[in-house]
Amino acid sequence: MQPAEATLPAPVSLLSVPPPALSAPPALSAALPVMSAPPLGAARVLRAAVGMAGLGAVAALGGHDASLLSGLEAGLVPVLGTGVLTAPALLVAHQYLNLQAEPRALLQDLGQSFCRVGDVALGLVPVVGLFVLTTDIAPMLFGLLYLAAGALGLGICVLRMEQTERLAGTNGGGFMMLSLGLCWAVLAGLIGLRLCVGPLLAIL
Amino acid sequence: MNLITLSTRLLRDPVALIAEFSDPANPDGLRRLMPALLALVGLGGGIFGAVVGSYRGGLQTVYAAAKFPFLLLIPVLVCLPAIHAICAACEVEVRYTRLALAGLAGLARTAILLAASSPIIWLVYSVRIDYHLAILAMVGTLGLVGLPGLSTVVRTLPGSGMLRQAALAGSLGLICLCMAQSGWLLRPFVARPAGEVSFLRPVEEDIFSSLGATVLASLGAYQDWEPEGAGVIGRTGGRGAHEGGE
Repeated sequence: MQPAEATLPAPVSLLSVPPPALSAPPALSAALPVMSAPPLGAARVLRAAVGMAGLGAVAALGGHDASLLSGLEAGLVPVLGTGVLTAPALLVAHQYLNLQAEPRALLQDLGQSFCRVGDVALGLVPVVGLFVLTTDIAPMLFGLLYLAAGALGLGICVLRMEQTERLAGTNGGGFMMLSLGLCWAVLAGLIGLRLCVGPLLAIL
Repeated sequence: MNLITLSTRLLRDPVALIAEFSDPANPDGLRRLMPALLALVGLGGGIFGAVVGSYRGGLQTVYAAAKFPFLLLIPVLVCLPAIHAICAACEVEVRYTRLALAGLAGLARTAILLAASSPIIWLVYSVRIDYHLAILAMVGTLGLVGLPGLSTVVRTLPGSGMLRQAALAGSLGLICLCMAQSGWLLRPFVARPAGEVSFLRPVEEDIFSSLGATVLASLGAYQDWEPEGAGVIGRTGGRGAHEGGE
């Protein structure tokens, strides 16, 4: 504190000191690692969707009677469905709790997580492909890897949203957002699992 | 850079070597270094494979020497895109060139250490130990010398914290999964002394069902485990082979 006071140009009255609520959050967020990501664009979203659909399609090749369509469905429907079904609830709860981050910023975080999961799915295509060619356990492996990628995406999304809320600048907002995000992640996980069951059984 | 200088740098300070050749100011670094790294993987893996194959002797020595470098290369090649994506998802930003170079350098380091450990394996095999012990010795050595190779990749990844740990755990899990299956596909390396010599076995079942049957057998619950053709290759090629055999 002392060095900061020493740099002030002139004696400052208490009234001229900016309110702590405005000055504290930047200091807090500066202590956190800033999560960076390339900007969202149609190409990135499309690549992510192709990655998920491709992973499902490759896994379906390993199923005995599975069609390509059921593979595409298994790759895309759970993640897209989870997003469509749970994002509105998240935004409503966020506004209801009077948190400060812009809904658009939260949607950006959701979109970034979708793209990251899609990229991981695209990267997993050669791995599942190896197992499709040489084993009968590829559809099961697809299910496990897909769930792991989804869990990773949810975790990253919660951390991103917490950071967004901290940067938006309210005291205790980060903790509230973290709590809300965890509740949302549980709901999204359960809905995602429910959406997975049908398509997964179709390719197993 | 000749192979001896490269080996020295790989053993002493692989991270500095990777940093030098993956620097954006050195755009063709990977292309320049890759042939030498692949040569080291082929040489080191080949020597270790030959020693492992010498347990059976004869043609098996040549077969194992030819296959062993692929046991090291296939998992890394198959998993590299996924590892890059997992790192990016976990906010561990690393360029693809750097990751590929780190993977290859880690493999080359492992291969050099494998070659160095070959005399020990030869000594152990020369006293005619049991077949299962011979396999355990090979897998144990591979695991031990794989650690320094793995540490090369780990030290190349930037950042710190839980997300980095998550990225490393995910990547390691994938590599182990693919290496186990590649080992199963490329078997036999250590063949029984009285066994038939073959370059590759038919594509059948998978490593996990084999391990399950082995564990059950070790617990005394013997099952009539008959491996069948599996996967797209095994189902199409295996049926023909079975019919031909009958």
